[in-house]
Amino acid sequence: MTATSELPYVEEEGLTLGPVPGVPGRYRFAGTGEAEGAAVLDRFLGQLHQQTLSRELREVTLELMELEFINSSCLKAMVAWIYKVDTEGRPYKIRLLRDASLHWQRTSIATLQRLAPDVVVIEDRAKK
Amino acid sequence: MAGKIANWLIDFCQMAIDDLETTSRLHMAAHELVENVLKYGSSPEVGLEFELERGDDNSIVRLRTRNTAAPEQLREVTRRVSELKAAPDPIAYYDRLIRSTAPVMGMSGLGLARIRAEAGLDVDCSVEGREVSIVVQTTMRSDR
Repeated sequence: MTATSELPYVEEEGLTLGPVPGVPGRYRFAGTGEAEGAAVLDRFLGQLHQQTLSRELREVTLELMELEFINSSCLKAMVAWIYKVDTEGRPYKIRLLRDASLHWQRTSIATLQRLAPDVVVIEDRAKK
Repeated sequence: MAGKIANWLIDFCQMAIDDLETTSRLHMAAHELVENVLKYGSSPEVGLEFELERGDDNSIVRLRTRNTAAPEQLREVTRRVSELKAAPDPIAYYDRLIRSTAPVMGMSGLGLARIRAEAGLDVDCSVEGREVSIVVQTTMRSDR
């Protein structure tokens, strides 16, 4: 992977993670994240972070509307990433697109924003 | 694995509860509880119960897991649940826990606090010998 190449599309342990083609800094997450998925998500977010820094992007967007559920192990992977961005100079903002009709997305995405209100922006979108 | 069991349990709950919000909250709790049983249980014998206690105006819905675990795990879960129950503001407690564990690699330890703060369920536990029983519950308006 180089700074200019897209992140690899990942379909592993119930999760589908990948870039939205043709839109730099925009990614789509889908599926269900259980304990086994935490390492997959952690690895993907690590690559995403490195690439965002390399490309000097000011914002990344995650489309989460098709993410059916993540347990606390996967939530922890997102927490660790957001905490890193928040405590290492806030080099970019993180825009999370959620489906507010899903109870867990309403509560868990709000939890992530409370962790780093200057970094995380929430946008409500309906599932396509 | 945990997801399949949690989904099966929630399908069963939906036969008794016609309240999407409550079943969504129970779904989150079921995921976290089953995950804990699979992660910390020390024998294949586990229990997973759903209980609906109907009243005239309100009903109580309850999920309970039972499993044996190592003594240090029993002490740890008891400590966590005691802390959680003593916290006057579950969301503030959860946020503090998230912030303090964010830089720590490895296990999340957030599951029970998430059930309390995000799913809005009461959490309790009891230990008997080497068996721990975790109960989460909420009150909902009874169907008329």
